[in-house]
Amino acid sequence: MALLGENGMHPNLLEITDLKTRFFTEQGVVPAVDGVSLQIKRGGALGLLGESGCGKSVTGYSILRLVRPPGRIVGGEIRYYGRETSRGEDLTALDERSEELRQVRGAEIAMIFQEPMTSLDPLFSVGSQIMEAILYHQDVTKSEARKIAIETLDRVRMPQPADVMKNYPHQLSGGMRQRVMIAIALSCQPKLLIADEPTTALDVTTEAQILELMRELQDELGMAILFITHDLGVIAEMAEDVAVMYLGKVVERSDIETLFADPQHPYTQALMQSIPKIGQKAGRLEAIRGMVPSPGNVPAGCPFHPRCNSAISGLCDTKAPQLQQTRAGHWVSCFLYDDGSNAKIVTQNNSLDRKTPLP
Amino acid sequence: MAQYILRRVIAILPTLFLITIFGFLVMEAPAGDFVTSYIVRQYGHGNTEAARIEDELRSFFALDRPVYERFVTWLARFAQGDFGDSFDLRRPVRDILNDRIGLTLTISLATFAISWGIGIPLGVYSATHQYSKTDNFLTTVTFVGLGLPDFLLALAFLILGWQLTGEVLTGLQSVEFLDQPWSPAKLLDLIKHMVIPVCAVVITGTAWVMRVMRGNLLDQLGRDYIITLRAKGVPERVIIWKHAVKNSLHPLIAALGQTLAWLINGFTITSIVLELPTIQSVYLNATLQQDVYLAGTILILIGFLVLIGTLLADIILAWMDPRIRYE
Repeated sequence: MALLGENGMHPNLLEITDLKTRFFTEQGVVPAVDGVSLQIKRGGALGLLGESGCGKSVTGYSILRLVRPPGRIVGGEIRYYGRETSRGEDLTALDERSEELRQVRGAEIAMIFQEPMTSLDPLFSVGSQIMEAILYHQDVTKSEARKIAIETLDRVRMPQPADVMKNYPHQLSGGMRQRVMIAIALSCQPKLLIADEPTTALDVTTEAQILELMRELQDELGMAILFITHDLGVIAEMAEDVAVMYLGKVVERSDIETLFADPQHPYTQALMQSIPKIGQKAGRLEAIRGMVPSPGNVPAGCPFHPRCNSAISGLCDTKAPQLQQTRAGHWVSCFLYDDGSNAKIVTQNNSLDRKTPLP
Repeated sequence: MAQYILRRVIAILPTLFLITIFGFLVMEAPAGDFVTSYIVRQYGHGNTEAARIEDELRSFFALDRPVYERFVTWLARFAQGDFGDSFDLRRPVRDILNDRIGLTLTISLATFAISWGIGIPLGVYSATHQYSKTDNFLTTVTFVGLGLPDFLLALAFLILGWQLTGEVLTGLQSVEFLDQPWSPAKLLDLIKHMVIPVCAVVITGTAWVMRVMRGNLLDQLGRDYIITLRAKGVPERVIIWKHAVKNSLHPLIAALGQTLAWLINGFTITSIVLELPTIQSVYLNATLQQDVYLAGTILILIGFLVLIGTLLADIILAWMDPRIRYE
């Protein structure tokens, strides 16, 4: 029990260990999440970064056991320390229809989604959909639930919350609906909020408002956030720690400052170079070579090697690298850093120069 | 809302008028009239007398008058509640319908209630247990149910019933009860006769309701809002029955508009095959014999029920779905 902090509380709120979620489709088995390990600190903000199809959303869905058939968690552990604060409980061991899991969903861990336009039931008023969450988790009367719902709407800075309660989803704009979704998620004061690209479908000004709102709410309520996004700018604003995913695997993990100051994995480096920078002469924007392979057809060895400018022939295309620590709290899965002390030199020698011929 | 309903109800009248004109024209379209077909049938029975009095028959039925005159006269009397007389049955249309409407509605309402009552829960079960053994079994049964016409099933049941009981269960009443007042024994006899038509029509009806319910529910269960409901910890039972099923009812409620007319117009061939004393068998005969006032009255009744049914369906949909507004 050396890991436990004061009060016998585990320092982490959620620990994912070697999670494997697969989709058993007619075309074959797709390993959407392939051995992912993550830790979320109590009250912390972890960003999960990656391109479409890298398995970041499926990781989020796996936590709340929302993966639909033909998808299924086939291995690993998701240990939640919110209720059993010292021992934790394995969410993957719960039955999807069990009462235990139902009491986790919404009350302990809440989730908001990418598409606020379709994430609410069109036939029920906004108020009844917020109250539903409250009534299934808290021992309150209908009128108390209504009061909590209005308070929560007020908390997400919804103008005229009492009037909005009567509105139906189609009467609200995308930004307003996402506020409603956040209100539903916050109504039971969860300890962890999973935000799956919550601003992707919104326009830029609305996005900024929602991000600011989420940051403020995190401070106010002290909940932890798992922020899933493909947007480097958003992750820089929202996260304290970041995990970069590529084709179902975490390829790099560190705190946010280190990641931006010194990205080590060639994939992360390439991602950083593909953002335009203000002040630089406009030229061709760097893009990552090639396409993301289909997750059903992951290349052998390091999944990134066909697109990697530093790939070492005979090694990267045969053996899969493991995550290893290159400095305190900075983990990378790449053979370039096999010997931690050479990390810097290797990076410089293999800087992402487009003219470097491929090995 | 009240204004919208009033406007829709008023709009029914001109539509019905057009249906009536069109129906009348269609019945006049074939060569000959009721008298021609009557004479042919009398010939068939060896009665050659009828041909001699053809002109008298025609003036007796006022069929010697021009179409528009007959139409206008009939419509004027119709507006006062007199639907005219049937040529063939020599009775007021009103009496014929009065005799039959009760039994017709008894059968069709029973069929409707049973097929929806069974079809919806089975459809929900099928959708929530997609590709399970039970779902595969039910799906197979529904395809058979949809593929086989109900009158064929009725015939099969009729033979089965005859082999089991030695009785040919056509019609809705045994001869000995025909002129009796209602009694428990007569009621039992009616129920006995209802089993075959109701079963036959329920099988196809249930199959349809189940298919629609299963398909729509599967579609709804794949929507994003279902994930939201699961993520907020709503019990699966509530997600299905309160949210997904309610969202799946649109096509069934739209079909409810047609169902009202179906109550007096459905399973016509089964009615004929089983010699059921229903409105649909009388309607088919009236059309074949160009018994225009009888057929015309039933046509107006069907048209009226279709229009009212559609209006009711629209009102229910608007009440259920906040996205639908009255224009």
